[in-house]
Amino acid sequence: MVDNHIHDDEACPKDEGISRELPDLPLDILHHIFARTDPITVVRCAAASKLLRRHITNPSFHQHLRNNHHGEGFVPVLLVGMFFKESEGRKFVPWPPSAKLTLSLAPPANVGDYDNCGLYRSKFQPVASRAGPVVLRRYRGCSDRTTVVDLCVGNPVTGDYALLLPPATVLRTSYPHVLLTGDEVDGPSISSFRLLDRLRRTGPHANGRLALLVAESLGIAMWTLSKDSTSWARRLVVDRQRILGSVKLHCHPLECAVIQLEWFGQASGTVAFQMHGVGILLVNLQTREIGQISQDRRQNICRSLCFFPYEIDLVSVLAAMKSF
Amino acid sequence: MEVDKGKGEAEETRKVAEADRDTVTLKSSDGKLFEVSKEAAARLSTVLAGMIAGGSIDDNGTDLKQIGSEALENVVDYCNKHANSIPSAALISSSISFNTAPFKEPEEWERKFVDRLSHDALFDLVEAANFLGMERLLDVTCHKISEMMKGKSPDQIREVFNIKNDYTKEELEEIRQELAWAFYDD
Repeated sequence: MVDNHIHDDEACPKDEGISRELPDLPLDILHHIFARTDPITVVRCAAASKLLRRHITNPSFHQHLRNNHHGEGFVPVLLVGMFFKESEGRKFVPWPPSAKLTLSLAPPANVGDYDNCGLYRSKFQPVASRAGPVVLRRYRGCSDRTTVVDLCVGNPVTGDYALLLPPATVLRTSYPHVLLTGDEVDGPSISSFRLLDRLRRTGPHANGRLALLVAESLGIAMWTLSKDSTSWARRLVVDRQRILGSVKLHCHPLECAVIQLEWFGQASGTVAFQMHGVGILLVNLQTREIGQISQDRRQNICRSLCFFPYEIDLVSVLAAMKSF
Repeated sequence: MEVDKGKGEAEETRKVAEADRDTVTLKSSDGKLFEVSKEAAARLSTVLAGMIAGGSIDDNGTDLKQIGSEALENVVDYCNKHANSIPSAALISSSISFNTAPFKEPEEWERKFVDRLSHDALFDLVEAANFLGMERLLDVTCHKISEMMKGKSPDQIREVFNIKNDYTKEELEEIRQELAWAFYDD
């Protein structure tokens, strides 16, 4: 089947003097290759030729990706950046820094400091995210002089947002929000999610088993529950010496001792933590790569630091792409 | 009974001798012969395993008309190297308890094995691995190709796959605007 192969006779005639016969790679091999690369490269492949784009926008490829991304393993490239709380709203920092990813963080029709009735409303700011969608929050003045909170959930890559109408609008703002997404997300719209208003920390799952990450003086350890749920096994995920050897230190290595775990990205398998005298660090459980986020002068662990990861839902991005 | 042996026994002996051989001979599309460990071939290739089990292995060289001699040499080389690296592979998999990636990362020797290949040899090897049902080799070669594509522009990706740009200028501009974040350095 011509359509199943990269070698398309119409798109690329054989008699053009090309030095080498094109690889006649079956679709499942192309899927293998695309599924291993990072989101930016997949999108660029789709811009290389119409045939590749057809393969990449094909639902069978999305199923292939979904099987990989929703399987037991981690896909490190799905972590594309972090939201940081800053004095002026929240800032998105792409990861790796060279990626320069930008996100749209407001529903299109809701920009501006005042609504139609002249009442003040703050900018939407991201407060939680999981597996693609983010939750945005803003404060809005009402005619009875009270302030209410608006929440919306959407995809910051495609810019599709849905405002949660009352009674989904919550009045209490002191709780952090946690987004739980459904397993099946069809196309660019989010078909099912739950929003919790209380933070729950869950551990990563390894081999489908419950695992806990623990910050120790030696580094970061992972405790994994045995298959019969009767015992825990400990192993060191990353040791302190390796961390110290691969990052920029702001003080003497002996002082860089305390580690505070911050969050765990379940899709990418990335652990974010602060280390005294070093700053914010990322370690990926699959590749073991260590990354240093902030190289500022902050020496102590900042207890009130607020940041969370953004892991892209590549399938929804690809499903929303235009066909040619 | 002693007298009744004869031809039947000779046939039996020959069959046993064949079954006892610990290598199989493979013949490339251009007629070159390669010997490979029977155990490794059966373990790494579902197609060769089926042929060995089904008795369709030809002692004078099993014809693999779809595979050229360079690719087949690499396949055989990979099988032999893999056979020699079993102890270390077993050691590694037992020490990493959460290696649950959708794809298992290539080992150091596998990386070196594909790194030394030319562009053409790599693509030929992917096709050969696919034809022979060699899942692990397919994984390793696909991993290499995906690494070759990382960070490349659409133009460079076209070079890797040797494909023509069939978009109009306007279409390309539309694509760039649609997902501008993916084209930040163009």
